[in-house]
Amino acid sequence: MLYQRLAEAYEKIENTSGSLDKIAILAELLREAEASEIEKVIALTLGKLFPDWKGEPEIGIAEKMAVQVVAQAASVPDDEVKKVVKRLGDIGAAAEELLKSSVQMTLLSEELTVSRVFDTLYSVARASGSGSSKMKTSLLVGLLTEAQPLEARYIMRTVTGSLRLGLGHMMIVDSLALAFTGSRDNRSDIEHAFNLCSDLGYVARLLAEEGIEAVRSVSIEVGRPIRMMAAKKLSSPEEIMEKVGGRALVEYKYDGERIQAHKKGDEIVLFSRRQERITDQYPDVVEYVRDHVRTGSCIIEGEVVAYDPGTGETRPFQELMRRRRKFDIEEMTKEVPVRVFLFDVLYADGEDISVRPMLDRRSVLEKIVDKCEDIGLTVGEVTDSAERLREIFMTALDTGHEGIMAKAVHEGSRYQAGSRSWLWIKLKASYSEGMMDTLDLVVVGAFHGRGKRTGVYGAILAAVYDEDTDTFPTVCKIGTGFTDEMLEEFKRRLADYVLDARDPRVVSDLEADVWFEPRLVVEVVGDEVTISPTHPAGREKIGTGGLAIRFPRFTGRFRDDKNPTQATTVADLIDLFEMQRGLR
Amino acid sequence: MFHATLDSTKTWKQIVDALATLLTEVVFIIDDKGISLCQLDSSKAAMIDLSLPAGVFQEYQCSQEHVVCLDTDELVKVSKRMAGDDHIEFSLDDDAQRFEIKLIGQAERRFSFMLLTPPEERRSSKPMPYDVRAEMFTDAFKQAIKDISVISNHVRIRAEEGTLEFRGEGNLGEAHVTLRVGEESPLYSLEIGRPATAMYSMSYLANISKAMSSDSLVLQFATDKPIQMEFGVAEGGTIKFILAPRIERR
Repeated sequence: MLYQRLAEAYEKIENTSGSLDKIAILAELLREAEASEIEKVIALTLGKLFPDWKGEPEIGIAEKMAVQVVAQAASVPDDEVKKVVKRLGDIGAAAEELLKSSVQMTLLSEELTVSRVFDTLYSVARASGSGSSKMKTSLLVGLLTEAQPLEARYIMRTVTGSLRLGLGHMMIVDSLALAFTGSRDNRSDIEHAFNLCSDLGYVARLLAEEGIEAVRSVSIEVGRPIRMMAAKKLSSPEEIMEKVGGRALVEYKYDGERIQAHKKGDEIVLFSRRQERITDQYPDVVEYVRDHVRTGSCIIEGEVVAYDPGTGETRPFQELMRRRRKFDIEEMTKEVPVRVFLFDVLYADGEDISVRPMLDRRSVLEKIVDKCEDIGLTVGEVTDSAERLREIFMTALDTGHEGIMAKAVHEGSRYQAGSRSWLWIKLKASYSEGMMDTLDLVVVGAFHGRGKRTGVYGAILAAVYDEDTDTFPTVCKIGTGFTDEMLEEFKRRLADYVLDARDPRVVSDLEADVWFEPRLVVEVVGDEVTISPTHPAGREKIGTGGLAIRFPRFTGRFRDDKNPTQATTVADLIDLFEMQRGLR
Repeated sequence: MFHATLDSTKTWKQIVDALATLLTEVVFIIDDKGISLCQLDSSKAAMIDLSLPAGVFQEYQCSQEHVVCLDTDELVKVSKRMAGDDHIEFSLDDDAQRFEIKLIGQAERRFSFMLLTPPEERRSSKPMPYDVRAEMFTDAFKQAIKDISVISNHVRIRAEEGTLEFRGEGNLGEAHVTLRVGEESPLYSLEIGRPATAMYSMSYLANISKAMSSDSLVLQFATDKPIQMEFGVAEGGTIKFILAPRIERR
């Protein structure tokens, strides 16, 4: 397929606001593609060449290099590109406009196919070491030289990671269903396969080559992360008991990092909740799993928690995040030792356990884990009493835990990969006290500090993620909860993400002093969700205004374990808002 | 087996500098006739074609063809370590795994390089039909490029009736450099099959012209077609740069 065809479809999708129309346009495109190209089409559309867990390098071209590429291809100075970017709002549109006037020819012209674009971007991603930035620039200039202006728009957006078609994973799933099965009715099979293998491109190719039956037979495989099941939130023990069906496994909720460990013989791989490989950060966890899990192969989940080697007490999440680095790991394992609290098993010795009820899974886990100081199961008990649940919750808080997780134990209480389900419900300290749960917000802008805060940011503009439109609408301006050290840290962390103009995916009515690429995720608490005229989140759905967070405060946690699309979503916020209303 | 010596470090530095303007990896084809190289830069807009016949070297022995792929940065670093009166000795080790450059001066210094995997495709420069052929002093060309770059990011080169004109337009104005063919002129030969005009990017030309190390230069081009810039290196060697034009879309 020619890249031109893809670019034309992208343009149509971009100019269409209805989800159904976008899905139909993409489906038509997918039908036209060769089965062997589908994987590349999906990868380019997702803006990622490979799923994170494959450990392949990312394209990740910084704004500065993108400007140089366009400048060279259009043969204009960098400053002129910057000017056009500022005027048009993004590097893709700037490339399109600048390449309209004249174009560099090549000595060897080949057709710009989807495969060629993908392969060239892969070479760009792989270039490393000295001279790599020259190499990357030159490869991209080569690509732009052969591109039509419209193609240039989307190539530049792809390499800078902001394709902004408003197409999320789920809409692509819909398009696949429509394109290859003729109807969106089969979407859940496709989604399920994706949740089990975390590789939408692979599922798409399978669907195109072998049909829906092959997709239905996708199963759990050790070494391929399963998208994690997530929990809903409630603040009343009675309501929790009712929702889970009268009886629940109530476990302590540990303040750590959730991991999914895959074991095949002595080979252990650890995945984060973002399906990234984090094996290298936790050599100690790898060892615990190797030595204390007695199965040939398995997939288990648990929480890794940092503890103080002196007192044995657990340490906060922030301490654990110090393990998130690429060097001096050995030293860090001594400074920040960890323990593992396992709570689920999805696969063991050739058998898919994930479809079994919760307590069955728990008993398999009991059997395969050789418990010790370093690795064991979460503290948990089964109860049918809301009163008892409340007691466990209080004990959990007294012993320094975040709260509790209540899990349904009935026949249907299987592990629901990739979904946030009422089978699991969490209760945390903050909302039982009448406050809201913490939110994970994306930092998109900042305001200069004055007086005591001169030189650092005085306030941060934060956004949620809108899955439907792939945008980041703002929800609050945060000015409290910062220590001086935190303000310094914000300044330092955000330095890499500063942009000349608002990122096109950020939706804001406020004019920030500084705009950032939406990358940094921080934890925030607020008093409640309110309707606001200044913040646009969920405005189309609410009608009377957008949703905003009242009295937001930074909790001190940088959520390095989350990427921006895993931040609190508009849908989450609407849920919270409605729940709040129901309670009144 | 390959072994060659070169008594001028200056020549080698000129070659390496020329290669470094366009390439991050160099692929030398070494055979009994000499050393050659023909590669596109990674944007595919420019090409360098190097020919170093065996006669360029003082000693030259090669029993079979070798394809030697090296990191350009490494070559540049070593060439910076060369003293003016050093002699250079090139060789491939027995199993053709490493390329060795030995510098023989007051001390004997030896650098050996890992061979990189060469690309599968091999290029060869095809003779292109050019309408214009100009011979001129290299310095005049370099000056013309510098003059135009004051104003513009592109240069339009036009040849007609005994004149070669360089022109640039920018936001701030225009620049013209005109050379008329003549015995006293730096442009001492101009053959025009048919008048031609074409535009080329300054960002390539500025770098390429810096790497031109000989006194004279042969330019060949045609309307909206690539331009070839050829100059000699050492006794009998040549370097050709070929650059694709820019085409106006509206």
